[in-house]
Amino acid sequence: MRGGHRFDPDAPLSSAPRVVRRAHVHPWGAGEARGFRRRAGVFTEAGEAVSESICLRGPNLAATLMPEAPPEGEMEGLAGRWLFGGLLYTHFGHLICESIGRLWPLAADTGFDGILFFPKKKFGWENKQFAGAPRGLFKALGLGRLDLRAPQRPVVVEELHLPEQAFGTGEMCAARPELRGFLRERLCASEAPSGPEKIYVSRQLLNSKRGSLLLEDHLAAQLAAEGYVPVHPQELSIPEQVALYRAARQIISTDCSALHLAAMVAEPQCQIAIVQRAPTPHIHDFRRQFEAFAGITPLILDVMTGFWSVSGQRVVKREVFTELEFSRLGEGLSAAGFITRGSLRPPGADAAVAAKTRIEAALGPLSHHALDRPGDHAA
Amino acid sequence: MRNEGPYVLEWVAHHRAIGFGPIMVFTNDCDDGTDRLLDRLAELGHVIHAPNPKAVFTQLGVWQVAALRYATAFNAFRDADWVMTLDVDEFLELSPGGGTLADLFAAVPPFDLMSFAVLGYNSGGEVEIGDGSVQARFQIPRMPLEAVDHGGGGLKSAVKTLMRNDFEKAQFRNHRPRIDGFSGLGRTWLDAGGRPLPAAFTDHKINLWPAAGALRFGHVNHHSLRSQESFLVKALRGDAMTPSRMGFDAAARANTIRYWAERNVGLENPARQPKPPQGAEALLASYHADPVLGPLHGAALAAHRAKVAALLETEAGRDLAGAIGYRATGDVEAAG
Repeated sequence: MRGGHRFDPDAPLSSAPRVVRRAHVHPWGAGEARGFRRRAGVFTEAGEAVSESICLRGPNLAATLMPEAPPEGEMEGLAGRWLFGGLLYTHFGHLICESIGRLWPLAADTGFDGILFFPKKKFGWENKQFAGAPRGLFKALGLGRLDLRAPQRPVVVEELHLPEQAFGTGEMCAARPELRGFLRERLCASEAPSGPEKIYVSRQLLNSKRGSLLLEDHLAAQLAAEGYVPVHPQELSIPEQVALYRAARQIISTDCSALHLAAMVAEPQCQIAIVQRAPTPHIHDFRRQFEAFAGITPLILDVMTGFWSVSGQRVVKREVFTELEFSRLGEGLSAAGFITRGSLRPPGADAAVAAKTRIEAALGPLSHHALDRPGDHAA
Repeated sequence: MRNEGPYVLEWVAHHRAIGFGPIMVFTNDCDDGTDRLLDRLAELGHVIHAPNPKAVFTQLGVWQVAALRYATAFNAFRDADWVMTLDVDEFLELSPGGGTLADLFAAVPPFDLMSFAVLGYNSGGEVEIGDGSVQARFQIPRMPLEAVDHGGGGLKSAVKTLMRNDFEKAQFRNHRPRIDGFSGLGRTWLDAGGRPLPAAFTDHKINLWPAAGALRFGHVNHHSLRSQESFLVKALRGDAMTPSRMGFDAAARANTIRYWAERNVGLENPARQPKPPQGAEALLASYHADPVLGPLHGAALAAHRAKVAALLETEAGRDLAGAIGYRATGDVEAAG
């Protein structure tokens, strides 16, 4: 699925959803898996592959591969008119980027009975996949009355509509106009602006295995002294977050999935500063998304000097503990008017050791990785 | 080594004074300045310091084995007349004369290898990291040396081996080298009682051997616990051989507590004054007086204390501390 496909966020979607009657949906098809990609696909009753069911992570990066053959044997029948939603993730970051990119027809078409997904994970109890983040997000999008299904076994759908996927990661994080409009309208309808002008989006209360800034506590405390109210998105409902992001005029955050939601509802006059904590190119996704969704160019601060990961385990760069050069961070934030000059003090001598100790007590020994060439960590 | 900062200077001074040339040390992931201390000691010509290759090539096996293999690739190793591997919590103690290698070689007829019994010490009931000194503070052996020397219930002890470095095929290992067919080579491998070791030991990868009568010329003092605070930091650091042996997660917790409990025995034994080699004290004093080493030692102590404090803020840390009977001295004072 790699090719020369260019993603144009300004171009309207080219086609209406493809409609397949008696669609044979194969959530766990046969065939070789490749990395995170696995086999899942929709087939016509005649056994032809429906290529519109291929799910994307980015413009040239598939998240599913067509199964080698259509499903066979007894299948559950789903009556009614269903929208194909793609892959259903339970991880919030993937959920918000990859599981709502096909919902744009719902802006005008109110005649659907439900949304049908491929499951991302194997769950014994299908509804468990929707518990928590997914159900809350779909409800906030005003879709609470629709049935949500992500069957683990093949099903036959009476009428399945397969729209183009208009959102994802990489260049697809800018999304397409129809979807941007739909998401902003629905999410803003879920809650009015309400909250402080300055907020800091925190990872402090996340499970430590998710990674963060090594000295996030220090940063959060310094920002609090500058009036930034810490926000812990994972403890808030989607409408509660929407209210905060809409009301805020200055948001400081690390690169975290809550920013994907903030970009959908933030007002154009809001200033965004992103303190990069994961040394990966995903940082550009946030820039693309804020520019396309809100007309905001976020201030991206790459002052990472190194990071720690759990010794003896594969390094997942989005789950590491990043070291920062605080002096340059302070300069960047004050030059852009987020804080007063000189207010961001460097941490004490043993602060890093203490922070690392708390992480090691939870996760085990950490190993250090140096990052040189500041400003070049997204490559 | 990893995060052994408070203990580096005493250990290097001890083994330099005993007569070893540059000591090769490999480190990884230090955040207490251990690596910086060793860099300075390398500048002074007292150690050769390099990163553990596993820090770069993560597919390598365990930390300690990676370091030992790597060491043999250095010319400093190849050019050495004698080689021995010792951990930072192990101190070679020699009985003859001034307790140096020269005294040992003068006292014992020529030999090619000598395996020393490793004798463990308990925590001595010490709580705090203190000034980082080890041999002056932890002097209670798990079993009195006289009892070990007299058979101590058939006690087998781990050995550490001093080896003449001229064998065609010797695999350098932590406790003793592997030399295939050693007994047929016509060479001499003694225990530290000066007695030839049988083929049953020399020709097999055996790390444990009866220590009865084997202490005459020396032994290795092993301080695997040190103080309670030191042990908490060690648990945080992890084990160089077996990850599940040391740590705070559910899997390692029981092993960690067992490690402490098995080694913190014999607290009622009489204290024993170790015999450091001649010149060790003066050399250590010169290290502390060094404008770089002195402050780095102090910073390492502060870092370890900060680790203990941070650890005690975590539930896992308090849990382990409680399981080893830790009670901060500050708490005692507060309790009146």
